[in-house]
This record gives sequence, C-alpha cells and structure tokens, in this order.
Amino acid sequence: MTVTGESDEELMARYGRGDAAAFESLYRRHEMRVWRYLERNVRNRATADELMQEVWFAVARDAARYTPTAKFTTWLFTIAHHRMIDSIRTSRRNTSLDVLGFEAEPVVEQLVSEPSAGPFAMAVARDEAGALIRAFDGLPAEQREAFLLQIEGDLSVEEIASITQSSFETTKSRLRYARAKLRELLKEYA
Amino acid sequence: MSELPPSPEESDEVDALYRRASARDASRPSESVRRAVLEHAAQLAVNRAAGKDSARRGTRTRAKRPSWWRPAALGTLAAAAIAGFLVIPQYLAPLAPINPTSSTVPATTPPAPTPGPASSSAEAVRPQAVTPETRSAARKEAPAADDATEEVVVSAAKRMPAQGRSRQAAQNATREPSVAGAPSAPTAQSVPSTASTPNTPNTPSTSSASSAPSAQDSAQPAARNARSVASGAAALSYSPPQAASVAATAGLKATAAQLRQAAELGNVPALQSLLGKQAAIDARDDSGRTALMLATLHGRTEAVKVLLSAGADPNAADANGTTPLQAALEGDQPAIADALRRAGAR
Repeated sequence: MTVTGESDEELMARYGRGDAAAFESLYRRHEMRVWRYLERNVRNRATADELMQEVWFAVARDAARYTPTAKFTTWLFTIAHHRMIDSIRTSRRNTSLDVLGFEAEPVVEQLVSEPSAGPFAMAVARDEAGALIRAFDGLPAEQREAFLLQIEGDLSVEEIASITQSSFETTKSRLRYARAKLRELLKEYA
Repeated sequence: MSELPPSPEESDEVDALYRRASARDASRPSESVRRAVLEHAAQLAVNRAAGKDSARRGTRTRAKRPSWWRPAALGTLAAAAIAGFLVIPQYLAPLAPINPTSSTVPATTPPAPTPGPASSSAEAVRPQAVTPETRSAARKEAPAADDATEEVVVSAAKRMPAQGRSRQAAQNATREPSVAGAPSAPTAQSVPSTASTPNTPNTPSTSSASSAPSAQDSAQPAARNARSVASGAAALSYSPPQAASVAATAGLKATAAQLRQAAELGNVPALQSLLGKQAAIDARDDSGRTALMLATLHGRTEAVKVLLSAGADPNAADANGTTPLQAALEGDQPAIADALRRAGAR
C-alpha cells in the first residue's frame, strides 16, 4: 500500500483494464528499486538501462494476464532476474564470437575477480556511497544478487531461492555471508 | 567464509547502512528509458481499452502463437483460389476458339490450300513458328501486357505441363529458325505453316516454304492463327491480357505467401527454394508482417538468418509499428535479436 492507498496488485489490475495512469504509479513506485538491482548486478549503466526497459515492457505486455497469486514485487523481480541472466548469456556469447564488433559488456562473474574494472567501481568516491560500491565489488555474484533481491525487492528467503533456483539453505547462506562481508567492509562507516 | 554469520542486529545495521548509502547514490535510469516505458505502456493501455489487445502482435505469447496460422493459412488459400479461378477456365474455354482456326485436327479444318505435297516434316516447320511476325502479332494482340508480364507468363507457361500449347508456343518463341524448310529469310509465306502447326508435329496439312505460290492465298487466316497462338503464349492459353497480368500478380502473391509460411515454420530448404525463385522477400500479409517478422515471432533463428542474408529488410515494421528487433526482444529471442542487430536492425 502506498500514499495512493492502492496496492501494487490493484494498480496492475487497473492497468490490465487499460488505465495507463495506474502503470505510471506502479513504475514510479518501483523504478529505483529495479534500477539499483539491475545496475549493481551488471555494473554497466547502458546494459542496466536496456534491461530496465525490457523488464518494464514485459510488465506492461503481460499485465492483462497477471494474476495476483504472489506479490507483485516477486513477479517483478523474477522478470528482472531472468532478463539479466539472458543479458549475461548473450554478452558471453557475443564476446566469444566477437560478432558485434565492440567490447563485450562486463558481466557479473567477470568482475568479481577484478573489482575495480567495472564502470560502477570507477565511480567510487571517498564517501559512504563509494564505500558501498567498493563493498559490492568484493561480493561474489550469487551473494550480491541474493542480497539485492532481499533488500531492494523486499523478498523472503523462500522467494529468493525460487527466483534464483537455489535451495533454501544455500540462499540463506548467501545472504548471511553477503551481510558479513558488507559489515566488514563498511564497518568504518557504521 | 570462515567467519560467523552476522546476528540479526548486525544485519539490520548493514541494511541501514546500505539504504543510507543508496539514498546518496545519484545513479538513475536514463530519462529516455522512462519515457519509452511509459509511452509503450500507454499505447498498450489504449489498445486494451479499445479491445484490440488480443490482436496486437506484441502481446502474444508462445502458447498463443499457433493462432497466427489462421491468417497465414487463409491468405494462402485465398491466393490459391484466385490462381485457380484464373487458370481453370483456361483449361475449359480457351480451347474452343483456337480449334476453328487451327489445323491441328485434319477432320475439322479446311484442307490446306497448298497444292504441293506435304513433304516437309513438322520438325522442319516448327522452327519457323518463331518468326518475328509471330512475336509482333502477339504484342499487337496484347498491348496492355508489358514485357515484364510477358516474361512472367512465359516462364509460368514453361512450368505448367498441362499447358502444352502455351509451352510449345513459348518454346518456339525462344527458338531461332534453323533447319526450316525455307532457308531464306522468314516471310509471310512462312506464317501459315507456323500457325497451322503450333502443337501438332504430325499434322498432314503443314506446308513447306516450297509451297510459296499458294501461301499468299492463306496468308490472312494464317495470320489470324499466328496471332491466336502467340496471344496464347503470351497470356497463358488465350486469356485476355488483363487476365494474364492478374494471373501473374496472383502467382507472385502466392509465392510470397508460401515464403511467409516457410519462414513461420522455419522450413529453411523451402525458404531457400522460394528465394531462388525470386519470391518477394519483404511482401507483407494482412497484418503487415513480413516473412522475417513471422520467422522472428516463431523463434525460427535459422530462417531469420537465411532471410537476412538474402536481403530482407531488418526494420520492416508490422501494421502496429513493431519492428522485428522489438518482437525478438519481447519474445525473449536473444539469438534472433543479435542477428537482427548485426543486419542493422534498430
């Protein structure tokens, strides 16, 4: 529920009936959460922009078929997760074939071993936000995504496990270790 | 990973730190993305409000995609029906007008005016059928049919075994006079023999060029016969030139429909075969979809590549303005999207 008094699911239902204003409310409500999830995972602004558009296009397209059997955010971040995985796979394939003629976008796993390589890390500043970025660069991809799904998507461990197709215990461990590392890296700002 | 997991209190502390840091992060999605998303959503909302959503291509899922068969099948059937409507009458009616002027059946034709013996064989006579007069007669009979249409029709006649007369005439039309009974330059005297034996090599009424004295007497009916035969060659068995043009157009449409169907099914051999026949690669169906768009919608990666390599327009949008690249992205077809981008799709 929000200041408008309408839940995400109600807004989706309204949009499914052809109310464009409902979609805009929904978009503005979740825009930054989805954006941070995408950008902090792929660590490339252009790729994150492209994924952002694909995710919301998919939401708009499938609104008529949306049934609120689960939270809207679970559905939304499931779409975001799948689009991101597809993008990473495509980037890998393009990199290996070198068919696009330009340097491939950095992908999650590629950057883990070299934390300072991505554009996200290049924006590091000597402040709290910069420290957060550096801390994220030090996290393994799986832990980073699990953490972002929980904190940005407000999803439960079960929901994250379902989205990432991992077991409950594995997901729980990823979350714990992600927080432990972040706490260590950010302790001077705590 | 050897350290202990944080306690819930420490987790809250980390989460609070994350949120505080995120609030200071100025990173935002670009304005163009926001605008594109909201415009797209608004357009879909308008479509839904108008009850058109089900007809919109972008909203179709894979489960629904088989329903695209219906317009494709109807289009193919319609094209086949039109072609059949134009061709079938030519099997029935056109034979009647040619028989009275033709000497292919000796019992129904007047005796040949040539007093000389019918000593020349049909093989010797037939090459003379291709005198320039014959072609010019055909053009006079079919002034509305331009050269391109004639080419299509002649090639169509070659492909249709049942149209023996037309095929024979078409073959004659492309053959040079060689061992004709009259080695001299083709003249009006050669026309009667041409016209009288368009398709009957064994007809006894054929005259050789040596029968020149009597040929002038039969010049006029023979010229009519020549025009009739040539007209038949040019218009698929003696149909009017307008019908020939329509038949050619219907044939091209049918080929384009077959191309789209092959693309939809991902039938690459059929696709290549049709492309080899110069099928219109960017022809659209009733919804404005090209073969490339249909192949994209049905996830036919190989078909997409074949079409692109054959020069299909990668930006040919359908009636709703959706481009193949948009369809590939919405349909979750990254391989096709890559191929389209490489071909210059936007």
